[in-house]
Amino acid sequence: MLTIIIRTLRDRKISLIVFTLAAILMMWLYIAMYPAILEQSEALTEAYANLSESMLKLFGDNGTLSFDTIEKFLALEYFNFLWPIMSIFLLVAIAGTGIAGDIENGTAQILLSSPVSRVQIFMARYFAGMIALLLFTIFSIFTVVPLATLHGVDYVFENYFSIAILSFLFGWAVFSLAMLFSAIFSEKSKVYMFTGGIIILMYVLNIASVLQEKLENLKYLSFFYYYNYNDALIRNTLDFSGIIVFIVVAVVFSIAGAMWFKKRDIAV
Amino acid sequence: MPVIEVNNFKKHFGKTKAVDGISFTVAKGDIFGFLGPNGAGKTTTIRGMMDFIRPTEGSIKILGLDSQYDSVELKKKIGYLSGQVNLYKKWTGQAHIDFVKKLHGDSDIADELVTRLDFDPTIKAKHLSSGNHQKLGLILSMMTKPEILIMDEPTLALDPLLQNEIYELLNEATQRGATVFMSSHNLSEVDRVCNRVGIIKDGKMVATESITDLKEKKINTVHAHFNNQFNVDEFLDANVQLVKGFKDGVILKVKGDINPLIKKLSNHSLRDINISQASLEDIFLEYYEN
Repeated sequence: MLTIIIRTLRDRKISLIVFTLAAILMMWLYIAMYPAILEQSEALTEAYANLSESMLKLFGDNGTLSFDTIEKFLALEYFNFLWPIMSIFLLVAIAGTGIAGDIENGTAQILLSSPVSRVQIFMARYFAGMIALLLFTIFSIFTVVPLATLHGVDYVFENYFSIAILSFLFGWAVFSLAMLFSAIFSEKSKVYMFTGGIIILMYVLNIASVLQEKLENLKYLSFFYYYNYNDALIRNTLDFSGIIVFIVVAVVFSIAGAMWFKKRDIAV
Repeated sequence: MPVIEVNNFKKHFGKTKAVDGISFTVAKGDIFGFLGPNGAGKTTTIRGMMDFIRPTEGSIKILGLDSQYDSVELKKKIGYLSGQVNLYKKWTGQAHIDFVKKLHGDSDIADELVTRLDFDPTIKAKHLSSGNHQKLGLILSMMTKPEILIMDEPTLALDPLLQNEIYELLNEATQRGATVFMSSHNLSEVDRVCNRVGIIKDGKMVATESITDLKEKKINTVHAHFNNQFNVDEFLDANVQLVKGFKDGVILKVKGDINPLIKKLSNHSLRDINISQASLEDIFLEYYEN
């Protein structure tokens, strides 16, 4: 199994490096521009104060929107949309190529004709993806330390642990969903389509639940509701229910994916 | 004791019966040729043997182990060559060899095979010709010295010299006790390499026999030319079919005993007669047509 994990990581190293570097560069950009933003913080806070309550809810901060700390700035600019979208692209690509792409290309015949069980194949691809997620999370988040030091920006180190844990759990849930589809389908495009479709639907549900009071309960169906980056990064608190939901979802999808892959016919 | 036992294997995809209850055995040391037209169910059977697909009904045992439930244990002993060798495009041949070596964890003869097949393992798979694709597939399937070789069209895309090398390798494998199960469309190859064959048609096994027994089916082709008038109908019966008629002669296909026809022909003044035993190809076509 270790052979497959190492080989999978070697095959995905370029995309992992590209995504991680892109995330680090974006983080660098935001930190580099933060001193200038801080100077205009009061003006920006006043401007945001004029936004409607719904708009403020969309930013997930219920009227406390300001840029007086780097954590508040990064929460809005980096963890609100950019980090989730980058991690989703990276993880869905890894999951899609790992099983469904292997079947689509016919290369699954190499693994399937080797003395390795299907569950081991699935788990090897799975752990490779999890290692990629862990590396992406660590480098794309904790790079804040050298970059903030470089630009003389104050930061609260502990808060980045919270956001790293939350982001990792969010990524784990997304990856497990994509791995389930990868175990079901034989074409990676279907994995991208179904996982992407569900994530977009979740994003829309989360927004709809904020904008429409009668749709409020729909938020519980969305990963984005549980991905409370403001609480994690600004207040250094993690919502227990969110952690449980991500873990349960990830474990259930992973087991379902492994079981499906074990039982299905693979025409290679 | 047979090393491969396929027992009432069925694989249905909805209403389509890809394989519909085939049974056969392969003995240790055999080179078993699995023959059939496209869509007959050859690849589905091979996929079942490799546990890529699961039987709708029936079972497949290899070396006494169930192909589905003992799959991991079995694959330590099986070398597999797909009908369409698919490789990781960005990997070199050596990377493929190293990967398979690590997964099997056994001693291997990869270097020897690389030399014998004149294969360059430093080239990335995306740059390999179809023949070299096939060579690498063969190396991967044979490098672990498996007890059972399951091969779908092993000499596909190879030139005659390399085909001979493969036949040699298969013979060597059987000499050290391996058993070969191979599908092929190349009947002269089957005639040359295999000692037993199974013929599958429309998902059903229509024959499982030794090559020698098949050839003894005695299908003969008779070319007869006459000096006098003749009526073709007098030669035809249940075992004698008209292949072609001429003004002065006939070509007839005879199944079984040829003597009754010879007797009828001897009533005429023959200018020329030629009797030839049917080739293996004619025998297979006979099965397919029926």
